[in-house]
Amino acid sequence: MGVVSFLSEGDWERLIRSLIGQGILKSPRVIRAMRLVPRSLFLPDDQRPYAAIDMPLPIGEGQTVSAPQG
Amino acid sequence: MNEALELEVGHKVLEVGAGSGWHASTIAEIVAPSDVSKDRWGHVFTLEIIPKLAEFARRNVEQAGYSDRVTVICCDGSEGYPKEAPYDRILVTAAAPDIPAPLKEQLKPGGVMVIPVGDVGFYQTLIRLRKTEDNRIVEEDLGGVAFVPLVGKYGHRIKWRYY
Repeated sequence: MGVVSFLSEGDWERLIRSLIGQGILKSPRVIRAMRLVPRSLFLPDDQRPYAAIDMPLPIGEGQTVSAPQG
Repeated sequence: MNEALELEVGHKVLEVGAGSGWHASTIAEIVAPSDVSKDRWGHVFTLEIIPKLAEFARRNVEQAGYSDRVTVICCDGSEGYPKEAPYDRILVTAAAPDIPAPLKEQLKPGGVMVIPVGDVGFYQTLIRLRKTEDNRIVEEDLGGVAFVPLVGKYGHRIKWRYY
């Protein structure tokens, strides 16, 4: 559980607020879904510390998970 | 992309490129929200050509509690998924050389598709396509994006190994 301790729910919320501030996230339903479904749950263990950074992240097989603004 | 898709509760959605399953699960929380009664729920069908990733996505979706609203299918998503067609919304999470004809066919009249179109290794254009009630196609340019290439029958002709 070492990696998980890096995670802070506050970081994800801060990112969502920033995306709202930039006008990227607008509708209440989309914002609600982003809050309820954090990206960290869907990452390989070694990428979890970066879940709240607004970039695509590697998920193996040469593929990436979308950036939160995507 | 979720904003561009104009998602509503009850929509049946096709996603081409499940990846980690995250995007599909955020869509599920919009078309089938936890705070809305299940008989109004829509559903997300998400396709993944790479078997290992399909398995990864399936496990993630299950752990996050969305396996009742998201179905992960391992197949060539460039051909869509005719079995459950037509769809209210289609999104493609990989860049296609052109908009695959089967995906246009599998979109409902009144439906919306969002798809990055362009060359491998460059920025692509995010296209929002609307199929009108009388089956006309109207395309709109939403700006530059950068995605991994779509592979498969209607994807880019690049060397590709699934495993």
